[in-house]
Amino acid sequence: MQKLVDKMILFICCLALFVSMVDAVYKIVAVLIAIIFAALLSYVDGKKLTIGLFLAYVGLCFYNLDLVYFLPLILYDIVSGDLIWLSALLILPYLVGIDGLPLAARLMIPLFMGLGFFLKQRSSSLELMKNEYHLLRDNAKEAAILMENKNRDLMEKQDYELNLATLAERNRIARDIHDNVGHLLSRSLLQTGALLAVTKDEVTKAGLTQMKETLTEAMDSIRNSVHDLHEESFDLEVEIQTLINQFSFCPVTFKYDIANNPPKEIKYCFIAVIKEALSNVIRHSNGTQVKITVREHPGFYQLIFWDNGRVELMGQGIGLLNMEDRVKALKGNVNIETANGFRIFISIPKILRSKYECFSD
Amino acid sequence: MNVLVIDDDQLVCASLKTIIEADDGISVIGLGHNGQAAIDLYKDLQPDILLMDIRMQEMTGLEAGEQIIKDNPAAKILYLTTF
Repeated sequence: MQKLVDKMILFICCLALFVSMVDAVYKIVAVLIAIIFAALLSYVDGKKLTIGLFLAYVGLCFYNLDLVYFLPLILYDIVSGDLIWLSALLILPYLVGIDGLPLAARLMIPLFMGLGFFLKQRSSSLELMKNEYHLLRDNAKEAAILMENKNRDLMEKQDYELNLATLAERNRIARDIHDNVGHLLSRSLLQTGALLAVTKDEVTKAGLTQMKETLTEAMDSIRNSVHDLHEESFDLEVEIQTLINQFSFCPVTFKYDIANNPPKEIKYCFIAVIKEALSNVIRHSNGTQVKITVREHPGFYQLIFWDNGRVELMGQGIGLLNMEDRVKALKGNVNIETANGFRIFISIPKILRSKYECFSD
Repeated sequence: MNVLVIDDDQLVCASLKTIIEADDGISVIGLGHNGQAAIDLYKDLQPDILLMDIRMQEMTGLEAGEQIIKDNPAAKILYLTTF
C-alpha cells in the first residue's frame, strides 16, 4: 500500500512536469505507456520480467522523448535490491534526449529520480521494520503460548503430586490405626476371651461377655473405617501410572478418562489385568510400544490394552484365563484380538455396589 | 493336638494359650515371639499346628513360614492377622 502511495506521488509529480512542459496532441500516449509500464512493474514478480520491462521502457524512450519525463516512476521499481545497477541505464535516454528537454525538465527529472529513490528507501525500511515487528510479535505470542502450556503442565503436575501426597497420608493414617489401635483392640479381645475361658463365676462371665461384645463392636467399626480409608487412598490412575513407571521394557502411552473413582473390585481387577498384560509383553511379545486406555462409559468401565508385538496364542495361558476369571466374576467381558498387534478389550458393567459384595474378599 | 503359638506380643501369646487350652483336646507345647524362634521351636517340638502372627520384628511370619515349609513340606501353619 505504501509503495502504491509513493508511486502515485511520483506519477503526479512527473505528470505535472510533463503537462506543463510538453504541448503535443498525442501526449496522452506517453502518459498511458508510462502508466502501463508502472502498473506492470508493480504487478510482475519475476526478476527477468522486471528487467525486460525496464529495458523495453528505456528502449521506448529513444523513440518517444516524452517518456523520459516518467523515468522517475519507472526507476522506483528497480531502485532497491540487486537490480539497482540497472538504474545506471536511465542516464542513457536522459542524456540522449537532454537537448530536446526544457531547462526546468532537465533539472526536475533528476530531482524526481532522487525523490523516487528516497521514497523507495523509506518504504523498504518501513516494510522491513513492519516484518521485523510481525516476526517479533509472532515470536512473543508463541513464547506466551509455550509459557501458558508449561504453566498448565506445572499446575497439573502439582495437582497430581498433591493428590499423591493426600493418598499417601490417608494410607499412613489407615496403617497407623491398623497398627496401633487395631492391635490394642485385638489384644484386649484376646485377653477377654482368655479370661472368659478360665472364669467359672457366672456373674463375671456375663460381664466379660458384654465387654467382649463392646470390644468386638469397636473392632468392627475401626476395621470398616480403615478399609474405607484404604479404599479411598487407592487411586486407579496413580496405581496404573506406578506400574507404568516400573515398566522399562518399552514406552507406554496411557490415557485415563474416568471422572468418578470406580468401585474397588473394578480397580483391583484392572490393576491385576494390567500387571499380567505388562508381564506378558516382557515374556511373550516382541512389541516396542504399549497403549493403555481406561475409560468410563455411561453403562460400563472399559480397559483397552494394546501392544504392537506379535504373539502366538498357544491355547490360552494361565495368565489370560486368570484375567477372564477376574472379569467374569464382575459380570464383564474380555475380547482378545491379534490381528494388528495384541489387543485386550475389557468391559465391566456398572452395577450397584451391593451386588459386588458377594465377590469381594 | 499339639499347637505352637508365635506372636511378638507376649500378652497375646498368653491369652491365646489360655483360650486354646480351654479345649481339652488341644495343648500348647511352646510359645515364641519372632520368626527365628518359630523356625527353631518348630524343629525341636514338631507341633501338629503352628499358629503364627504375620507381622513381627526382625523376621516376619511369612518369611519364617517359607523356611519351615521348605524344611517340612507337610507343616500346617495358621496365620493370625488383625484385619
